[in-house]
Amino acid sequence: MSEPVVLVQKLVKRYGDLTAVDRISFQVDRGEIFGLLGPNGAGKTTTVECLEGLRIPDEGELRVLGERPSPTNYALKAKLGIQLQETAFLSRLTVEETLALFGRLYPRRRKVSELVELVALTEKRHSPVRDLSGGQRQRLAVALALVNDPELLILDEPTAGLDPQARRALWEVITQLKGEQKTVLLTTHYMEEAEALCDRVAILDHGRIIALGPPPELIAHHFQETPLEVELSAPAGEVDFSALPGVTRAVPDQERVVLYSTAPTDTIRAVSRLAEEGKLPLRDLVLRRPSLEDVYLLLTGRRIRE
Amino acid sequence: MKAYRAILGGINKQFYRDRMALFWTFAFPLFFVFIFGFVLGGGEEEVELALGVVAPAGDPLAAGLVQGMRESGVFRVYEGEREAELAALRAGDRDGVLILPPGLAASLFQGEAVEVELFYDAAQGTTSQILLSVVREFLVEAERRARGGSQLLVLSPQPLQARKFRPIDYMLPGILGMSLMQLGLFSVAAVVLQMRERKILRRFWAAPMPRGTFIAAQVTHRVGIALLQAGIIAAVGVLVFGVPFLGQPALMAGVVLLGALTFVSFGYMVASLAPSAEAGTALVQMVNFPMMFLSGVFWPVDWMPGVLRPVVYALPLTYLGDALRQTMVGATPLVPLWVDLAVLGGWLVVTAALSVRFFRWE
Repeated sequence: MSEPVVLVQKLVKRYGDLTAVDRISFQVDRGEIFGLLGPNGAGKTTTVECLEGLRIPDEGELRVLGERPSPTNYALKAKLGIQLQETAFLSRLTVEETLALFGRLYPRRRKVSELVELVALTEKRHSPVRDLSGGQRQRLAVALALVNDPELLILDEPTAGLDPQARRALWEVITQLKGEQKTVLLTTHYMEEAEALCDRVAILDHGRIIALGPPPELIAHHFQETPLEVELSAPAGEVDFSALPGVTRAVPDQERVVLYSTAPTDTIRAVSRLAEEGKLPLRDLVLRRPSLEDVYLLLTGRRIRE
Repeated sequence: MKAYRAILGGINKQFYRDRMALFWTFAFPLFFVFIFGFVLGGGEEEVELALGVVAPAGDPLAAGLVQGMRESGVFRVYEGEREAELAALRAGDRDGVLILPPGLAASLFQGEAVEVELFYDAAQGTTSQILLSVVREFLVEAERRARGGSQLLVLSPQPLQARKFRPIDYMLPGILGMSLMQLGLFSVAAVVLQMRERKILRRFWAAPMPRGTFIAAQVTHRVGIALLQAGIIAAVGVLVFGVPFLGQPALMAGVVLLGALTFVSFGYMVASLAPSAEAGTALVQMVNFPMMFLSGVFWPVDWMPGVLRPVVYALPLTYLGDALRQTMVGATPLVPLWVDLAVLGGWLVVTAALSVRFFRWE
């Protein structure tokens, strides 16, 4: 049982001149929900597609459930639950027919009634797929990943493009899987999703892992400070934020500045004074707990955006 | 096998629930059949040739010949004077006028060549063709019997096929061949052209089965459609337009099957060689149009100018059309049936090999 479910060592994948994945290594343990976090183009999808046997890596070692993934490793494919980014379906088949069809491609399968229940599509089971909403389709894609009762689920951007309500509904489904002792590897570019769902995350940027660990540890490791978001109504001008009391780092980001402070009360006082003296066009001041977003911002100097 | 059946079932449902696809596949080829059936070939009336005969009185051979023609049911025979009959031909009341010279029997028994004149209206192309061949057969038969010393000229000739051969009879097998070609070209090229389908494919690749399973199911699906389409076209031709069907359903189904496979394979080849979706569309049309018009679908290959002949004889649809015409309505072969089948089989092997070599999954 000590053997990791997924083992990635120095994986490299190139497309022509572009190195999409650049020597990344990580492992996923049994029963874990592991997140690959990063902006679009960071190499998340390429990584999971190598693990699924849909792409062949240029370099590095991969082990999934103790096997080497390849396009023809059907024994491994039979044990994997796969949800691809933007799954398209045979649009005129119903939800039930789609699940039954894919079920017949696997040696082991779960009951269709159980699956639709799990992803809350019971009422839609007789609807053609083309009549489903985006959120419903995405839930169907997750149900398809569960069709063979897999040991490992690989979900690629399961909540991309969904409204907050649909996203939360899907989070519930994924959390439920944890109760079933499944191992889940998912990719996302939503920081709050990674924080809410994942036991551990790897943050990817330009094909490299820039941080790896449980979200609270990553945050604690990078931040003894508290982030203060200073929103401005105009550019800040001459103000030297890093000279303010308690501030260790100041990261400007468009019309706002994030101040990382070891003494937030002193910093707030100093910022208010500057605003009162008319030296700072202050619109809002928010103090919050540090998040993965801050870790990413700290490490890359950018925010993750779509 | 279970996976194959599951996928075949899925793509069949996807297809048969698509009204547009059904329309283009099954209704559209019937438009051609109806248009040609009603406009060109139409009606149930049989061609009866109005033939004027100028026969010398008291010649037993000439009398027998005329009687044989009357009894054959092919001709409405008018006997008269040369000038009167030729005038009737000019007026359009005769399809032809046959002039039997005096002393016909005597000359023939002495082994002398006899010239028999047949006047016809050159403007009536099809009718004249039929007239010439039928009359020629009569004369040959008459001569054979006369020389063979058999009893006098009670002819029961067999030009019935020529009589019943109308444009629709000729065209129906061609239309069938054309729709098999287009089914292969368009539906297979669609795999490449519709990129969204690729995403469907990717999800199937993630499942534990060889890619060949999916291809096999897809080919089966399309060949199934081809057989159904062929059945519908043939049924409409026979039931609505009375196309004479030779009644060899097994042989015909075999030809349809080979044709469908060849053109599905052709479609895969086009899809494999096309560098992009746009190029694929253009390539399909580049293949479709020459084949449609140069393969003898709408008119006989003999009508094509000589410079085009090499092209005509290179196109697989030429052979599929010929094979279908032979097996369905018993038309005069362009080449023997086995040559048709061999050429189609050759195209199948070559296009399949090229597809396997060049097909790209993504």
